Amino acid sequence: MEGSWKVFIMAAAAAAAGGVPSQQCFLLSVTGQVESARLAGADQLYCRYQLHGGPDWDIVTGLEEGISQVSRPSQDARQLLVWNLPVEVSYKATNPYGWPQLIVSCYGPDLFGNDVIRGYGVSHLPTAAGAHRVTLPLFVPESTSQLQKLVSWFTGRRPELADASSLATGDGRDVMRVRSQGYVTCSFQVVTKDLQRLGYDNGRRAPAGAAGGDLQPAGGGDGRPG
Amino acid sequence: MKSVSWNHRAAVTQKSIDESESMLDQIRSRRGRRREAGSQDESQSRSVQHDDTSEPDETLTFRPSDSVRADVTDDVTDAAGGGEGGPSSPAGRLGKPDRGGGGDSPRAPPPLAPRRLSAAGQETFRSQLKKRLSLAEIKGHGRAARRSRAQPRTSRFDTLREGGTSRAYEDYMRATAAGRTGPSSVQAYDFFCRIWEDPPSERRAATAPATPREAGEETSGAAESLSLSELLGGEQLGPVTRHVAPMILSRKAQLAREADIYFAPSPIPIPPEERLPAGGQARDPAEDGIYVPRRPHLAGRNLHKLENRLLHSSDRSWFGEDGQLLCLPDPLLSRPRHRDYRDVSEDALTDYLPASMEAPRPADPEPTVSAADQPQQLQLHVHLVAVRLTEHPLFSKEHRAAAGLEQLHREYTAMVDDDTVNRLTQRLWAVRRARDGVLSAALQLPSADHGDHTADRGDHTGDHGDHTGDRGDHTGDRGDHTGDRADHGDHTGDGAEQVQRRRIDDYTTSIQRLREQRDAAAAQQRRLCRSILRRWRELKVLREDQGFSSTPLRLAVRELPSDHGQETELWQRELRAELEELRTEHDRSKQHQDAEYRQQLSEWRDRRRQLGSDSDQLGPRPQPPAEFDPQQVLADIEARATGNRRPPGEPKLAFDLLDTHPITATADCPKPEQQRRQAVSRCQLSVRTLIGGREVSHTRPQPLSQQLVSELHQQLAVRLRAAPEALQLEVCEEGTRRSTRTLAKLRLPAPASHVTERTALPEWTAFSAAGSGPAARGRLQAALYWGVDEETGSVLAPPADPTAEGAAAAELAAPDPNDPADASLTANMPDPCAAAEGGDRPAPLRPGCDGFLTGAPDPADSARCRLLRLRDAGVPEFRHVTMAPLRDQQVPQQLFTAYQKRLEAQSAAGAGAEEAGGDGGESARRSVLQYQLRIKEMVARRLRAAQKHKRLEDMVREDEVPDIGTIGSVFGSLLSVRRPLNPPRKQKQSRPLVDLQGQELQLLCHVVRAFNVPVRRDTDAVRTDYSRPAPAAQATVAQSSLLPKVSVRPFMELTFQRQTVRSNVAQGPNPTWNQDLKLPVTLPPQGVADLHSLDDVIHLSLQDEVLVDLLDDDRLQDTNVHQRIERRWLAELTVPFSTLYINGRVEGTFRLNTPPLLIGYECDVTARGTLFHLTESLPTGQTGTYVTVFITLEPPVNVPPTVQEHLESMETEKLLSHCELWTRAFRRDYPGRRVRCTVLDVTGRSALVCRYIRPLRPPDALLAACSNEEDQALLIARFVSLIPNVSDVNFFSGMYDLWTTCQEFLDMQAGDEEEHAILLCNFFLYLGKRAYLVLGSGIPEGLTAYVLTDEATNRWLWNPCTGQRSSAAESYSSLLSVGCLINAENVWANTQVYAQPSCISFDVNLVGDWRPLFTARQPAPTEMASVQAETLRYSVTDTARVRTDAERLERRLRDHLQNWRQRTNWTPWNRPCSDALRRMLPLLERSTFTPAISGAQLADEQTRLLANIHATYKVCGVPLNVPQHSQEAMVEALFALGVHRNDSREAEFALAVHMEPYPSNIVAVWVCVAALTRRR
Repeated sequence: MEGSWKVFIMAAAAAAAGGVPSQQCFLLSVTGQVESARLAGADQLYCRYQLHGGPDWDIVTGLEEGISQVSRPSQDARQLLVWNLPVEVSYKATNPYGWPQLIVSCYGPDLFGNDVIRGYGVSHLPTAAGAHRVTLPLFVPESTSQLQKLVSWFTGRRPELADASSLATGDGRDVMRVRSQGYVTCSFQVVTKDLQRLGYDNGRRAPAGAAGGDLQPAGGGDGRPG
Repeated sequence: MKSVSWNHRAAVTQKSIDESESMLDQIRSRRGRRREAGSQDESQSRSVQHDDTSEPDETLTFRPSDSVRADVTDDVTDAAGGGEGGPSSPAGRLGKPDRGGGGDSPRAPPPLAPRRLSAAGQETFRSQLKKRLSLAEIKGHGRAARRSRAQPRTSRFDTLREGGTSRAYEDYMRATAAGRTGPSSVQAYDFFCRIWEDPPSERRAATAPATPREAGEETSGAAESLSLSELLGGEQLGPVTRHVAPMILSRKAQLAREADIYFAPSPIPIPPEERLPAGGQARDPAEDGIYVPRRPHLAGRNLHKLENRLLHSSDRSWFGEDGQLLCLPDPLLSRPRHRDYRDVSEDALTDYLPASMEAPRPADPEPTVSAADQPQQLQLHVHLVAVRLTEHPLFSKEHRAAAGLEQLHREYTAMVDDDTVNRLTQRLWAVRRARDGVLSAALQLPSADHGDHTADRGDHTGDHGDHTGDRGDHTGDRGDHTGDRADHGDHTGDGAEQVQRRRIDDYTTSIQRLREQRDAAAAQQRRLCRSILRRWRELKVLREDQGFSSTPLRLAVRELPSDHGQETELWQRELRAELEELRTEHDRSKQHQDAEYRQQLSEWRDRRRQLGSDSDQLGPRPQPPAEFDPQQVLADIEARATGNRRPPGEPKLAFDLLDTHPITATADCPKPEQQRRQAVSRCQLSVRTLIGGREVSHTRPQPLSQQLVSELHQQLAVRLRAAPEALQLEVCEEGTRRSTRTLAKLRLPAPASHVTERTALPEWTAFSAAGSGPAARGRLQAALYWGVDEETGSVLAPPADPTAEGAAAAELAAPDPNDPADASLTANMPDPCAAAEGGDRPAPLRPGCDGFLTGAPDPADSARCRLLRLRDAGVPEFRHVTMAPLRDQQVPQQLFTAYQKRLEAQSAAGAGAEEAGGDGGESARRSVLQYQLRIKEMVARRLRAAQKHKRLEDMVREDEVPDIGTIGSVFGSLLSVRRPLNPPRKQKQSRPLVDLQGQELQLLCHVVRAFNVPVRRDTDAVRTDYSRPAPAAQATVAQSSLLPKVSVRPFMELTFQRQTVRSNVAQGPNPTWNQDLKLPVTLPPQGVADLHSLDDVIHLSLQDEVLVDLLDDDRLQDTNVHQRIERRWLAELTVPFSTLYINGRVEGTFRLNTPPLLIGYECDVTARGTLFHLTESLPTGQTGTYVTVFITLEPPVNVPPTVQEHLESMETEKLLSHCELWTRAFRRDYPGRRVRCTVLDVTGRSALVCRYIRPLRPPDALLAACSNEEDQALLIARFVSLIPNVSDVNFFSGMYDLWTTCQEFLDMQAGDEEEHAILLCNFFLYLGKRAYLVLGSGIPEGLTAYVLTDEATNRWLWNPCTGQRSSAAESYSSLLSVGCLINAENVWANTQVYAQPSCISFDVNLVGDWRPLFTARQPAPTEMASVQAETLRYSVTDTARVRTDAERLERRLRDHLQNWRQRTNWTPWNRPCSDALRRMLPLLERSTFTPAISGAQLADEQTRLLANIHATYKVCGVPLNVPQHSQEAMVEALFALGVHRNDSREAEFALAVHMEPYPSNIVAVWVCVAALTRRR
């Protein structure tokens, strides 16, 4: 974006020189679920999630990847495919650059029973503490030609990403052509630690009682960061 | 009673009038303070008062009908209650006991229809009011009046029904109705003190009919309930239901019905008179000189509908004086502000929160401080938008002209937007009208007393009016005295006249002033018009003259429609008015002049009387004052008007400045202009912001556009402790050499404390260079505003300065409605409540000090930021840094020291590269390394963008569309033989690199067999075959040598990245293993993606396993076995990993690198026996050991293809396309054959390969060394082969095939096969050989380059990397296929059936065999400048340094060997042996290029040298020859030898290093290492 930037100069040189904090990283703990998907025409669907963080991020506990059960659409007008696949991970990091992203890939059998990709979705984990609901739009890569499309439909080998984690980086997006598919809804409960102490302001002020805002408890139901 | 009541009413009416007057007075006084326009109003109001008091009976004479009267009271109530509040009015009414007293209230208004009546009554009342108040009054307070009218009308009854007081009133009324004349004392007390309860409804119903008033009030309700009960007959019936048939109407009838019900406003405009109140007259406030803001645009149709609807509800209050709908001014801004992101939906909205380099809070938060202790938080935002230069040394003539034009146009537009001329004209006319009104009023005053005044007014031409003039003066004086009294309403007839006079005087002066102002403004506008046109013409001429244009400005002149007739009328009217005024002025001044004249005349006459008629001192007779000459004055006026204003006939013009003029392309401009434009494009502007003298920000330099505008668009927020007075901005020019020059400084005052982001507008501020620098002027667009605390919403601004605010308030107290500037002021007037809130802000803690604490260090200086930046740039030292520390203090400094050291060395090498060659010395080698690094970095930078480029195949996995071939192969596979007799190796599907993430990559080596392995010469102490019966073991040495015995037990060992795996032991000189060796590949830190940067070497060594019997006692040999296994290095094959990576696999039978001399072994051709048939195919006289291997990676990796970027080329487009076509055609016909026409050089430009071939003189030392031409060639080949071989993939870290020139190659001392081949080819050309560069594929390196020399005796193929030559006809060559031949003139592609060199003809003239790039039809470019320098520079090698290097290397290798033997912790060195070896090594070096020295000779020499040692030791040693790449490589090679693994306690070691210096710092390194075992 490339766009307009802001530089904030904080008047805290003296404060920073005073005390070196004991810990050198902040923590981000996310528990949540890949709840459900809305995907027209999908009869059975399972999903895989993987988390992708930048170079300054390290997983403390939790799984970086997960795979869900196969789900069938609900028998009502919503046609929801519910997984409720838990995602639990704690990161430690020294730099907000490369904030972890959740990549969800959905697979399901096609007409001939081949397991094909049904959609990829990607989203950053929420930055602010609290409960969040995130809706990820899904997409799949398009075949390069109509003939390819026909062939891939027959053979059941649809074009898929060589590496889904490449979605977390910007490289090579320009060469891909994708088609929108549906939505996946995820819910997250985010707790951060030491973020404010280290000078990062993620939009949440510490409550007046909590000294320095060491721990930001999950605020109820506020979906919007900041 | 009645009259009293009416008197009272009249009083009330009078009161209301007074009230409205006082209200008006307030408005008037506020307005009158600043403008003389107010004086006009004042006088008008005074006249009204005068009217009121002089005719007090008029109110009484007005006797409205009953209904109207009631309404008048209503209105009065409204007028009074509107200001004082509703509830007070009924209470006040109650205090009048006489109202309706005595019970006879026959004229009590019909209570049921007060509202309906009020509309009509209002109209009447208003008309009456208007009659009395002068029209100007209403005009003046139009808004206030409208507001009061727009108040919801609460009738008396409505008001009364509310609350307890209404009940009190009802009770009271009941009491009065009961016949009592007045309230008793108890009642009165009760009325005020009793708590009134809700009366029960029955009671109310019961009492309802008691009073006529109540009855009247409740009539409708009572009547209704009564009728219903009558209808029902007093009985309770069930719900009545009735069937009603559906009503079906025809469409027409339906429409007619609907027309009754619905109201459809028509879109037809209503005539203005209907929109006005009855009898009203449309009045245009703009005409009266009142500023009318722009109305928002509304479609006419909608507007008319709205008006119709409003009028239909007869609500005229929505219409203004001018008959237009009332509306607020157009809220749209004409200027865009910076982009607002507030439109983004809530979900997508991510609040940007500024990053901070330092923690804003202390690490240990202090206990909560009270709000009062907290320092003041100020946040000043600076939004720098753009800098536009208007004067600069880089300005061309045209730019200067354009800037002038722009400036003029800006002024003009400001003037037009402001509408100064029109505004002044309208005000002028308004004052004129006012004056005329006063005059006519004065004329109408029917009074004899004022006769003189009338006379005065009458004689305009009077030249005898001295008397009246005197009187007029006196009255004027008196008028001044009485003026004050007149204000107090103490009017006498004479005083009124004085006032009138004075007022007229005021008018006259203000008319005069206004006229002058108007004329000045009009003249200014006209002058601007003219200047604009002239400038535009100049610009056009300039553009034509210079033949190009560099500014896009174009002036579009529009002619606005104008009504000629109307204009002429206005013009004439104006002239007439002016004439009249001048006449009046003349008259006024004439009185003085006449008096003066008379006095002068009398004086003159006196003098004449004294001096006589013809005295010189008499002087001229004073002239009587000039008479008023209407003709002359009119002509003057007209002339002046024509000069100042637009005469009626002249077209009305409007100017638009457009940016549409085409700019001439730079290439078409003359040289100076091109240079100027280049200079402009190099120029960059930045802005430094200083607060309190401290720099807080320096924007990034932004390039200057060709229009000399630099778009900054940067925002800065500064947190402050105290409000700065002003912000200092410095516009800097960034020079080419990183020098920053301050162009100009300017100060921006701090914004007012109410200015926030929403209200701040970017303003242009002009600046000009001060000081000695070149003249530069320009404008800077910036907005300053205060931040808003997001939590509390309070503005983070300093408390408003009371003095400044007072000034602002004083200014705002009297806003001039005539001035648009004031209109905006009033709009932006700060909310007084907000100001009050801001007032109690705590004062700055230390008001005296600067209070500015924002001096945080520049982010760019912080170590962490630097680390992140370098990591992002992919600097190798930082590329793999993870978890970058958060704070500067924790960033390890050693991280930078290595990088810093490298940078310093690099810059030092850059500076000292030239002389380093001369010195030789220590730095030479390092400078070469630095040169390599520099080239590497340059290439990496150039191609980083291309490298990042990803293809669809990298991202998306997609199946290929099956074509007929694949379908055929699918069917073919069904028919193929299940188990073929000669099974081919199945090709594995290679996978893209990214797919391999997280998998283990393995090196797979399949060792098949070897032949011609050297055999042991010295086998005495070793029992070679333990299966042999004992007698054989006891045989003598001589006997055993006679026996057919296994003389060697070879095995293969694979070493890669210090990991080793070995095969089984085979027997004899021609072993067969057929074994897979696997080693894991340790990936580079970046993972598989970085695989190409792996520069490790695969060592495949052939070793001999020797069993040493350790049994000392021969008697035990029957029962015990005690042996030690020793290994002896025989030969090796080294394959760079990059070769394997590029080719995917390395497969074939390779000749192993055998040292020319293997101590303790011999390559006995006779010993081969007849075991192995393959040896038959070996060329006669060819010694050497061969091995058949297959090496690949598991799983196979997909090699990224060579980047085929279409880069800049030094060739013509035509040639390039020809090359492209030729190459493509050839590749199609002969896939797999290598051909290149154009190659990239290190600068990334492509060039024809022929340009690389040019005869170059080899170093003189080489030429002088041998006289024989053949020896010379061999020596040169040896020289070339000594230059280290580094693959492009390693070197340039990417799949680029770059060809360096010979000079670069020599300087870098690194290159791949092509560079070696080119250099060798060029040297051969110099020697007069017919040499060609051969591109093809060979083993083990895959795609490779050889040199072909066509000599009289033979055709030789030279391997430039080994220096070996082989006959082209030889069937066993390491060159497998020939793709093309290249020389300086042409490129020939091999079109023969076979590609093996032994099978093809090398006669390039045979058209069928070779396809040339350039033919007669497509000739080569006539002049083909070579990329090679004419002569090569060879640096002189410092032999002394080479010697010390050799010593150092020897020491180092010795240390390493000792380290590796840590297990045995003792490494004895045999010095005599080392000396002997050291003496032997130069001979070995010589033997490499001297065919005369044969293996036998070497063996003899070796025997001679080592004779003494052989007597006591068994020696097993290896001489190792490597081109000097690096010492590390040497160490690795030594490790691969495995000599250190000798575990024998008795083993001694010998190590010798010899370095043979060659020109240009090229050194042949020989290392000989031997293990000695004492003979028993």
